[in-house]
Amino acid sequence: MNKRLLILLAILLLATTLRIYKLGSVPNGLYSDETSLGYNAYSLLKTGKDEFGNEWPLSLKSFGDYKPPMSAWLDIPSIYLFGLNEFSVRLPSAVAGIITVLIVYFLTKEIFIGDKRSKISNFLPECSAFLVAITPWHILFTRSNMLVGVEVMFTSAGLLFFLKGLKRSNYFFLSVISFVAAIYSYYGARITIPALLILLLIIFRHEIFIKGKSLVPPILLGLLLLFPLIYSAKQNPLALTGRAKTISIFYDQHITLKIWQAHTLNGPQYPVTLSRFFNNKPYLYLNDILKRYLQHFSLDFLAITGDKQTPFNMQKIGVEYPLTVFFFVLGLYYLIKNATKKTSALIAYLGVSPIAASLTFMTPAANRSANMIIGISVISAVGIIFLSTLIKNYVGIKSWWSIVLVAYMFYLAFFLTTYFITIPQTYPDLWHNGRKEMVKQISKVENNYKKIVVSNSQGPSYIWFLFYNRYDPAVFRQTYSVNDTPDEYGFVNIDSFSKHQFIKPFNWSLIKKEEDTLYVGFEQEIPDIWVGSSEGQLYKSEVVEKVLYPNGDTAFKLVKIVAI
Amino acid sequence: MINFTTGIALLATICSSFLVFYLTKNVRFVLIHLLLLLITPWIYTLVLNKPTLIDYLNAKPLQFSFLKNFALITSTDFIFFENFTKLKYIVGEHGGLLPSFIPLVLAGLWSLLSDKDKKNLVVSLFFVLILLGSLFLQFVGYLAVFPFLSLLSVFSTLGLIKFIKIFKLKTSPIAEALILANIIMIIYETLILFHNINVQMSLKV
Repeated sequence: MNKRLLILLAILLLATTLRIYKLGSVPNGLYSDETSLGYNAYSLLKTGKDEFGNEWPLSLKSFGDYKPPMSAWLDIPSIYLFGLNEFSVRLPSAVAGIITVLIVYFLTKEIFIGDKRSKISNFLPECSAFLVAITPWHILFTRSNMLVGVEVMFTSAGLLFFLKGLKRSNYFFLSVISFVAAIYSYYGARITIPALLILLLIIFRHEIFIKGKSLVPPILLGLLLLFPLIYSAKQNPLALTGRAKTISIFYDQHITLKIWQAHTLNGPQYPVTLSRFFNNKPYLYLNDILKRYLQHFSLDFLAITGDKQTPFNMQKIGVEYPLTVFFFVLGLYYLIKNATKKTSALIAYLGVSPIAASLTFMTPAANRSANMIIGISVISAVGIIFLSTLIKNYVGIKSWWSIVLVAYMFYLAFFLTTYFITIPQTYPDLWHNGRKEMVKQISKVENNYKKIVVSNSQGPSYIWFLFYNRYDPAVFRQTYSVNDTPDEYGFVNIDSFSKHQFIKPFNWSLIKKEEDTLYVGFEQEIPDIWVGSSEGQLYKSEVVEKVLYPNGDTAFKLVKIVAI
Repeated sequence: MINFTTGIALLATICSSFLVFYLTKNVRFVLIHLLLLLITPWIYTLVLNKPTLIDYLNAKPLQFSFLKNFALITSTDFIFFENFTKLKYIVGEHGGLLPSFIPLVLAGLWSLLSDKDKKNLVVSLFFVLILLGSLFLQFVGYLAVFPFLSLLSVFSTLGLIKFIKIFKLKTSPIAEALILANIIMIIYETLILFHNINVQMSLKV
């Protein structure tokens, strides 16, 4: 067998192993967003409607964040085949991750191979694919169904087919389909893809001008595919923007407070016009966006601490390996010195990737900038091969590859130990662990109670009941009660369904205590001993069951009230 | 009266000016460098001695981590936006350099890397100063980063020189427009800097 094909197969095998092994149990738990996508897919499979009864919606209402539908659609066959569980919910994302490795191989080939000026094409596609296969950033998002794993696959495929389309116009159809699929996959793509297309139009303006009329059918196809989304957005704008409003820097009060502080510092005697000239929203927002954009290229984010937001916090591991960042700088230098139109397209792809993230107030954000994975991996691969050409007189090519491979295996081993062992043991709640066990325990005893009161303080608990009990969507629709007023983060609350009631905040001292009711809260929310009285009768709490995390800490307490 | 931090500012100015002269062999460019230093936040923190020398020496990371220190002083947040957030900082919420200097620094760095004769010197100096800054941050506090910041100021001068050359050649109207926009932003941010020093921080510190 061809040696290079063998290397590619080995890389794909590695990518598959890293994405499929223990997929259902690591990350340990099922995050609320994943659970919601899984249950909505189940609901669509069973009834053709989402959990709230909307027929094949183009955005899933879910927790009021109106999730893009693609991941739920892709979950349908998986749930049909493997049932409603963690593995089947995450499988499409993992498969998308494996396909992305293959796309990166062909994308690198398309950009560099065949270009006579390129001196570094040898083994570059394999090297790029290898880096994507082992990068913590990509593994993190393709071992979970957090929308972006699928979106990155479609966006990178869109770019690949666009570049191929410059030679054969038929590929533009595939490019358009991929880009539109990305738009249906993740909100960030609704900013990233138009920005990328504008830059591609600028870079390849001559080639596109020559193509002329042959571009009309793919564009029409794109508009046709986008029409349902546009129509749906006309009826409900949230279908297009989702929770974008509540996470944007324009919603956050940071800049307003900064201006207020500046006016105060200027003092009451200072001319108002002058104060406004120095402290105004357009400048401060521009500054803020630039700052947040550049944070995504910081060494701290890329190689040291990574994303600090839950659940993407990998506890003192960057989203990339430090070595990759070093090679990235070298590769970027080489590419700018030896720029071609196709390498410019790659840099443009990297450049637009953090734009959506920089418009939000939680930065740097690994999920919203996940498209950076592709650019960084390919450019780092260029850096590896560029350095090998620089030191070829001192280090033999085989020795060089051995050193690089051993170094990366060392980093990979460290990452895998943290990801598979340390995080599940030390930070079990990161991916909402304990919910499955909680639902199981409640199911065992729920017939003994008239009402079940559950804490909603760390995520919308109702969805785990629906998911793990495989609750009939039709029955849920008949009994649920929702508070449609969004909270400060734009989420709506399911108050109750059937005999389950969900409370946020779960303040034990304020909750009405009744016999025949089961109370379920986090360890710190319900005291171990409680005694109270009502109408001359003394009552006490009694722990029915405790749900434990894998490390033995208590996750939930199931408590009932009994008369003394 | 010249105190210790003003002395450091003077030393940094002299050294960086020599470097600019060595790289450009043109006295006018040294004058441009001095003009740019006059609108650079880090030099004002030293000249006005706020924070004081003691503050600088005391402001250290809690735990020694070379990589973390390296990441801190090379982060755009630190260089252009926030700087020593824990200290009472005379220039307000500015970084070591104004954000509008970002294109200048990049252009300057790029023009140096394109120069085969001087590339090695500059790359070496750049890494030595970052390494020293990261290493000594633990021992002399934020004073350790001023050599690195003064080198970035040299890059910004070279970037401005490059921009002036592009502007003179009149080859690309888009490039000219972008440079003009950048210069307007520099002027605007300079006004904000002086406003902060004279009005806001004079009341606060």
